[in-house]
Amino acid sequence: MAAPIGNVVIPGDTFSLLQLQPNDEHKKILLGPGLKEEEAEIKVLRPGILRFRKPGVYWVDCHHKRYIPAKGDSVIGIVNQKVGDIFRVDIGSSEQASLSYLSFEGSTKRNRPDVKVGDIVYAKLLVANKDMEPEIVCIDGYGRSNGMGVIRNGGFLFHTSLNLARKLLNPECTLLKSLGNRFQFEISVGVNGRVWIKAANDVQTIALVNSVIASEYKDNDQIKEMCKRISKAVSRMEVD
Amino acid sequence: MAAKNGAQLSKNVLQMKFMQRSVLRMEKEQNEEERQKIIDDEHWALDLPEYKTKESDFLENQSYSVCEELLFGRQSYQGFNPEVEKLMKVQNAEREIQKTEEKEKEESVGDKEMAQRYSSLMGIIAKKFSNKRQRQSETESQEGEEGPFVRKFMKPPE
Amino acid sequence: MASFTVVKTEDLAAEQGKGPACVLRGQTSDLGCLTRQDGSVSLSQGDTTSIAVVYGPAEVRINKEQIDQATVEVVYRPKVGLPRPEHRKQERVIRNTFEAAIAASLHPRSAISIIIQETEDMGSNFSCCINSSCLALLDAAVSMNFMVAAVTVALKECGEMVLDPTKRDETEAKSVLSYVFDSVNLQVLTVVSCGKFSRAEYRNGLVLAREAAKSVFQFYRESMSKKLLMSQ
Repeated sequence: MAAPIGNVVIPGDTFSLLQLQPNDEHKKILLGPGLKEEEAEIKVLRPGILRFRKPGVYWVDCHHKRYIPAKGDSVIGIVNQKVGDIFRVDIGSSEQASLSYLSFEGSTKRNRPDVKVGDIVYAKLLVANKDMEPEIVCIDGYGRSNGMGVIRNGGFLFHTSLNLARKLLNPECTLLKSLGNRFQFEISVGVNGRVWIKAANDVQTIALVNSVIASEYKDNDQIKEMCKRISKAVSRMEVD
Repeated sequence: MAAKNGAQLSKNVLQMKFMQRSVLRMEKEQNEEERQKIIDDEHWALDLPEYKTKESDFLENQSYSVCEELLFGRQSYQGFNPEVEKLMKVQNAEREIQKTEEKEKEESVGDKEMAQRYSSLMGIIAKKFSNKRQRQSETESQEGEEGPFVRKFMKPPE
Repeated sequence: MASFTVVKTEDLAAEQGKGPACVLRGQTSDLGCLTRQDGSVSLSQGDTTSIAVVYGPAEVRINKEQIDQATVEVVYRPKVGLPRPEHRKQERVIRNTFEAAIAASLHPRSAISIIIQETEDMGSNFSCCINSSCLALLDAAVSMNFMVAAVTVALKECGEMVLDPTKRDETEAKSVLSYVFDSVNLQVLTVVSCGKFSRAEYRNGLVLAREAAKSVFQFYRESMSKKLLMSQ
């Protein structure tokens, strides 16, 4: 019996190595969130749909609302406090993340970045360990911002389930592309379930926010249909 | 060094005046050895078989971004934020290149496979050019490799 | 959003020649019934209903922080009035049960809070609380080593056993036993008893409850499948 890929698994389920796909390249198997190795068996910890990607990545796609920090994730945080040289940033996890003022592009001890309490930052998790406070940075390994940093100039920030945030960033999801064909806008999606949208005017922004929220349980065809409807409605409103 | 050379100098020779420097040197070497021994004894070492860490077949990673190969989260459309749009273009291009490279890897023939195929092909072609007699002798020699029966002396039972 | 009824009613049992005393009452779950919580469920077992919500892993109060594992908190709210000592006791039993089930070591220095609101107690309330909490934890996708299921058995004076008793069965019974099982080995995790019973009666009740627990786990799986496959 093969591992039930695409099926629902619940905590307590186990599979053995033999149930996994043959791995001819002798590479290690990567166990993603929701799976744990225990005594040469793979144990499911969270309920969800078992997924597989070549060459050997397995994970459980579950419905989350609470973010659990993982290294390398891109998140949207809200600056809550400034303590000495670091900022405390709320990223939706059980603990606030720390963000050093030196981890911005072009910042030095003299030249401090312009970050205030209440700002929204787009950042990457540098340290995400269950025993440690998460640490985020706004630069990549070469010291460049690469699109990270403070998000300014208005816009609208809202929370979604983590699934929806992941769905938006999935290369197969057409929502952002179809919206992009019809509207002029900017969007930032953090895998911690926070989405920031800014469009030319408020009507468009609200329409975009609603279409993002409505797309959670829609497939690609339904999404295309919805985008068409929304763009029609918005253009009618803007004429009025 | 004297010991290594095998020829030990006798006591009488060493007592001679011109040998005094050699004697000193030999003594020094001996002291050195002893001192090294003391140092070695001071270090505790358990005489255990080498500890092998059991290598796991699994890597664990708690990030969905890695598992699902998610896109970069900042996107802009129709030139709303040119900076972000430029970044998006670069990243999309990178992704595209990666994809085509992977595809190529799957489709193209690997070095090992190539070499294997060639070596087997070589045999076939070589056979084509060799004449009948050569081929025959080849098969004979292969049979001969097994070796004829060799008579051996067997000890008679007592 | 995702509510449905399991086809396991008295009719089905009558067909198989068993009395209604040997089956669980029909279960209905409504996963994600509240939106602000990480996980929420409204579970009915027959006429007994409770709502359970889960927050977590969330920020923990500094005096409850544990360095090596998550703190599990349980709050029980009765239908009327303030929580009384018996409710406090129930909270504690539920907490101890779930501390074993939740993989708490994966989220140290955080809190996983379970809040249970009793909405209708028509018998077997404890089982309903445990089962709704477990479903709420599944809804919130909290890491768990295994799931738990509780089944209540009432012993009547005449020696008859009633599975998943109603309020009336409970008041008439000489003792009421609630067993909690884990999903992997179907071993007993917790037993809450009230009244007199013999060793044999305990064992018979256990066998009966264990059989019934299997169908509860099946119900969990069906509920989760329904919820998760909805988005596809």
